[in-house]
Amino acid sequence: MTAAKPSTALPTASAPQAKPAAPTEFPPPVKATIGWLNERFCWWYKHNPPPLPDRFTRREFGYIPWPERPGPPPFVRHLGFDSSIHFHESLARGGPHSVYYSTAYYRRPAEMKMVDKQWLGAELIFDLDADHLADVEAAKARGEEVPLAEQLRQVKEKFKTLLDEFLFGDFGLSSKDVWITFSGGRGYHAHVTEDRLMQLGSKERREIVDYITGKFPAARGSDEPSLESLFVKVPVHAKAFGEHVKARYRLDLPSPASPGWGGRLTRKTLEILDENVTSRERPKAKAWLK
Amino acid sequence: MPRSPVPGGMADSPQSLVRLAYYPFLPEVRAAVRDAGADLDAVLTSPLYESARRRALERIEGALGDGFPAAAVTDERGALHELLSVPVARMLCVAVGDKILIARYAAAEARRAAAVLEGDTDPAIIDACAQALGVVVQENGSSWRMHLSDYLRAAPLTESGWKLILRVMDRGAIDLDRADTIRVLQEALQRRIVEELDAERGKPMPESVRSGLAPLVAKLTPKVEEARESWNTGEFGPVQPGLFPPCIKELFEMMRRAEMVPHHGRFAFATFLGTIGWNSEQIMDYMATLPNFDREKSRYQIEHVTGQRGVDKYTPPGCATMQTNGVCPLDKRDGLCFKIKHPLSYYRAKLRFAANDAARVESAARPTERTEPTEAGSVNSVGSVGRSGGTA
Repeated sequence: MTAAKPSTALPTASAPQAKPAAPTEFPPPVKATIGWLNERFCWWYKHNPPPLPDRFTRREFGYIPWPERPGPPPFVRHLGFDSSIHFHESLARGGPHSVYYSTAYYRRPAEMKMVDKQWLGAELIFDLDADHLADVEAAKARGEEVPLAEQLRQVKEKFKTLLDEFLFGDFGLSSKDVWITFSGGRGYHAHVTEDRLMQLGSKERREIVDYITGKFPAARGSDEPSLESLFVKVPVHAKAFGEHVKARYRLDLPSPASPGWGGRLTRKTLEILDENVTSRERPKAKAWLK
Repeated sequence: MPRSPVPGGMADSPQSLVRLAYYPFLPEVRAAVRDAGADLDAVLTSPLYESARRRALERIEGALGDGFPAAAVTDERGALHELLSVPVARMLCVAVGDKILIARYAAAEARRAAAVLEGDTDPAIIDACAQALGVVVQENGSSWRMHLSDYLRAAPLTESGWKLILRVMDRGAIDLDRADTIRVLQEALQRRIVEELDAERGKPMPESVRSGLAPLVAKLTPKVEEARESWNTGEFGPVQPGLFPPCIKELFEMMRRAEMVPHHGRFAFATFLGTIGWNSEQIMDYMATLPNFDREKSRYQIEHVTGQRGVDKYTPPGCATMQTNGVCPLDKRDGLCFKIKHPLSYYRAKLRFAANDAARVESAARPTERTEPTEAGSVNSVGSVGRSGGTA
């Protein structure tokens, strides 16, 4: 399910001052307010039918209705819709306060048991939250307040990197394979709906995450990630000992136009050098190089 | 990997039976064998096919050990017997019905095919095998190009050098050299054999086939039994907490201190202990110390992951996953941690060390065998290691 977890704090409207037995009914004014809200939601859905996600007939839907009595509200699950009309009618009739759909696709989304639903695939979703960016978290740890606008600017930049460098770059996806949304709060979601990628299992998805986050495995016996695989090995010296040849290599940066992480490493290195050396006055450049 | 004789020069037409004998998984094989007119009952019983049956046993016995070499096939008769030995071997695996036997057989069969492929100079053979095995590759000069998603599905990702990030990826395409392409094909073949034989295992076998196989099964069973002793079939013996890897120890400690253990940690804990021999009640007794532990709610989940609810039990996550999920206590890792990729391998290695130590202590305790004073010195230190491991 996407969206946030169902709020369990909802019935607090009726939270009693004293502690005695929990009430089984809402006080009449609360009940009336909830009824009014429910009606407004019905009206809203009737006049603003929301767009349906890709391949919606294969998805499981769920919603949380407005509560009739205090306590955690029920979560209506295992709904499936074969047409957008049915979906919109159901929303306009029920006017639920939260609606969810599965990111997974099933052959029979409305079955009650997971095995009977028959998993077909699931979107590959990237969820970037401003308040979880390393810089923002570090600032918070220092006790600084980062304004939301600034957080959003930063997360947008990261999100663009994700799209341009990785999804559209290294992975070769086209814009029709990726559905981009503002999460409604402080971040962005990219839903990859490309057929072949949607069928990947969790192990394979983890490889993709490790690729994007630059998790290079450590060299044997070390704890530090090794970037050696990115360099071009050029033999500079070779010496023969009987049948064995001992060679020495030089590690070259790949061309900045190289695909994948190799080119990215070179481009970033050049960028840093340009910023601090080539585009600065001599003394400053020298100082930086030291 | 054994160097294999390469199918009799390229003078053979690609479809010749002799050549096919090296690649029993190619689709042409079925028709070729049918045309040769062998029927199943005869293959299982007639003295004419003695050598096919012998080769079938050889295949499986090899799979129990280090694998088996490709046979040097020189004529059509030899080719037919080699090809017929494959279905016989497969039926034997199914008849014995042991999951590990099937896995080992599939691995050995795939290793043999890979060794043959490595020595095969026919430029079209890689494509032919890839197509037969459903691996989507495209020849691209001297390498083979795979789409990212095909790579992720087919590659042995847990092996060193195969992580996605170690590959150069250009717009979703990954180029593999010949050796790596063959490795991918080997994986695909192994997986296919396991899938097919696992599916067969559940079906009833015709009586005539069962009785035909019976003498071969009788010959094979003691050897499988013997081999099983040496496999680590998940039979870990009594649980020895002193030998747990740092991650599981850490989880134990957190529970002992009644600290909050996050979901991934609980999952790792339950599946690890479930795998090495605790049942769900024992696991729950331990987890009961957790601050927000609800025994009844957790029972279903724990019984689910430990395989007591009719689903296959879950294996505990490997080191990479543990690290991603923040369950691996990075600063508490020891030397052994850097040599293994899975908490179970750690425990298994420790068990093996403990067993070796115990054996050494025992033999050292007999003065007739070991009399040198230097031995006695080392025995003491070994003894203390054994004790701390066994009783912690």
